Amino acid sequence: MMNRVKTATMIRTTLTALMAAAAVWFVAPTAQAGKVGGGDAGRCERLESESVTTCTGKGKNRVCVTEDSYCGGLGNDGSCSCDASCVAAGNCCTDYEPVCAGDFQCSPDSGQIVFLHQGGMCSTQWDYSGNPDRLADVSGISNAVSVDVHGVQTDSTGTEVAAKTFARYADACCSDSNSCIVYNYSNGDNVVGFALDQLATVEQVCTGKGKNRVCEDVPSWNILEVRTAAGNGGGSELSNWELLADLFACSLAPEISPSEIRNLYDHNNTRGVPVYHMGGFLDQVSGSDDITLDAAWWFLPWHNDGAVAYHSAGARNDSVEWCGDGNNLVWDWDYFGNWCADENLCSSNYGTLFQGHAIAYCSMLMENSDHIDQKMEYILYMGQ
Amino acid sequence: MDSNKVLRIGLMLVGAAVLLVWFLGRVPDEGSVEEPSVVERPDGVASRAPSKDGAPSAIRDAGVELGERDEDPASSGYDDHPSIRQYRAITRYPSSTRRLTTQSTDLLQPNKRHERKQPVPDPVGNADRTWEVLYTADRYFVRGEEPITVSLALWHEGDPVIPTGVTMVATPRAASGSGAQVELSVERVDAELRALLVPNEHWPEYIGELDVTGTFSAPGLQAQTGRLTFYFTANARTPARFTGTFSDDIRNGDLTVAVGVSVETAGTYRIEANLFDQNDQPIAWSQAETTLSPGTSDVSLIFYGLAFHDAGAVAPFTLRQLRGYRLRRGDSPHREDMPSYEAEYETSARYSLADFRSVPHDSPHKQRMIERYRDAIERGVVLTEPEFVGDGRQR
Repeated sequence: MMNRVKTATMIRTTLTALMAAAAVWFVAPTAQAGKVGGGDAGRCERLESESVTTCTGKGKNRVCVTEDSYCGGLGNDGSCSCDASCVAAGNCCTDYEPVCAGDFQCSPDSGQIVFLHQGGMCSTQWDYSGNPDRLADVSGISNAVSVDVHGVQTDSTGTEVAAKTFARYADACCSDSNSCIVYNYSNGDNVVGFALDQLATVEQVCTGKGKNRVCEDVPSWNILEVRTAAGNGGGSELSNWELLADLFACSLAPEISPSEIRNLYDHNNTRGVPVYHMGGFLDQVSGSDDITLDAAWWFLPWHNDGAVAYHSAGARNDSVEWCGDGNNLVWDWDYFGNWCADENLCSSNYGTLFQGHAIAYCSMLMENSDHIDQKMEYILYMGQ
Repeated sequence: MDSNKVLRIGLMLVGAAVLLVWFLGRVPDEGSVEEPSVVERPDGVASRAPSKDGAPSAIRDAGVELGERDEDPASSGYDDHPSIRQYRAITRYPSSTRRLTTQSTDLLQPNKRHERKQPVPDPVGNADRTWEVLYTADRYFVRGEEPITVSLALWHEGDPVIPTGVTMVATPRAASGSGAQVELSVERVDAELRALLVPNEHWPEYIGELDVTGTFSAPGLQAQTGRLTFYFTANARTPARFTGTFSDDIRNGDLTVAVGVSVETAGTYRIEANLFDQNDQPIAWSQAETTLSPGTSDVSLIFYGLAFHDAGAVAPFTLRQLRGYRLRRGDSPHREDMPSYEAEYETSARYSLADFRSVPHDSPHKQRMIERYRDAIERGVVLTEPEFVGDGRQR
């Protein structure tokens, strides 16, 4: 355990190269060589603005087809393949199976309860071999399965791209007689939130006639709850400054500032799905055992886990800072300054939650649980 | 009196009591109105039928114990589970209505930015806490010919410092932009630097993110680079406009405000607004998501009646912060903004609380989801029991 002031001094003399290497591991422990560590990952998912529309025939027989993926050819950046031959060649893009092969690792319309796992920024999946992360153990639940969502969340439109892939999973795994529980981590909060608000498959049910006709959008996705650890739904202040965003390993890093993320989609529109949150913080004594998170702590509002502040992990509808009102500051010898003594993520002193959101755990057990630790906390606490 | 007679009288009294309790249980509360019945359509989609006489349905007086109204008559053992309670609470209104309070910052300030005064990074990316900077602007969404005011302020050990070597460059990000950069003219205003940008003058066909990258330094401070992002819809790409025509009515115990729109680009639109009462207290937010064709039409914003009871709202009501956009699902940029409507609209009639329904929203979908929660619990799923619900749903 190091004193925070001493830690900061040490960090100043630490090699920049070490910082950059640690940053690759920062948000998503994506240590797979050639996929994320070097920057952005290739993908088969395609946004409409990247698409080409091909029309054939004339007059009434004219038919236009807009490709909504890169299936059948190379991925968006040419680094991987979306052709069926990629399976034998071993060079498929990470999202080939859900986007091109229609393989979602669940059984549609089978009464299954599917636990989807959506990773964070710079990731392409949840569970990476060689890292301590894993999927939830659902062996004690009848007809249930855990699914690793393979969505590419790396380039500047990574949130929207991964959300589109997530929507494919939800259509296949969470509709009809199936139900879902969704785990997400860090910027996975925005992937799931964006998907619910903008991409959810809905059916319009109308009642009444004439002026009394009332219509309601009924979601087709049967999601029981969303479980968010260290959510980036409020954005990260690290994204505002080039020197800090550069610490991240992919092009999505500068696109997750509080202003951009909070205005990207309607966070209250959860389609009636309860969204639960938990989040950690670094205290005045220990800091993080990760040098990058410990350095980043200083740039973020009180309290934070080294990557996201409480206003984000705590799903507040404004970017409020704990003790930002000057209250609850108490002199602390370890910090050698006034420390924000209100360390409770559930504190009602600081802001109101987005509607439909709630905090799963308020406990001080989250003290010194940094952003990396947080990834598995929700699964560990729930035990499944 | 012999014991048999006592027993018979006793049984009769017990039977009468049971009948009385059963009868009282069937009689609706005074003032309540029958909820529309739920019917299954042939295609399997459940829908709600209008009440028999076509009159406004489900209207109750104010002062109802709302907790009682949350009860589900068909409930079974798990209804006290915190997860099911939370589901009921967040589906209290249909998704087109939200309770609005003074704490609903994101809905009351829909164009707010979130930069803050923060330390600057040193050469190896650590915080140099002797320097602080605030680089921000006056809006996030920029529509048509609206100007942006960007500001930069710097402090050293708490004292304002005027930055040197300042450049601010605006760049449209998406491929559909011209790609041309524009360097802004920066001027000093008191202790900060400001720059004005009217994006429509430079990129009259653009939709999407726009960055203003600011670079600066100061004696003793290495060069810093910050970036502000905006979402810009050029005038020529405006998909629709508000016409300024309104009307209002009570339908099925809800307030309906019809908003006139003139549409240029067909598509799916989201139109939303906030409603305030006579005392300027926020009542509710409402959104309509609807498909619109070119031409002029009305879009109905429906404010669910229970929200008026929950807010203790006093008529007349005022509609403010009317805004809207055309959705571009699955794409980036993901929306095209309509120009915001700055004026406000006061409802025509002095409605009373008795005009509004006072029961929580219910639907076949909601009942099906509650069944799924019960099923999940029975199958061994451990559902979250939230420790804090502070989402402004004041009752």
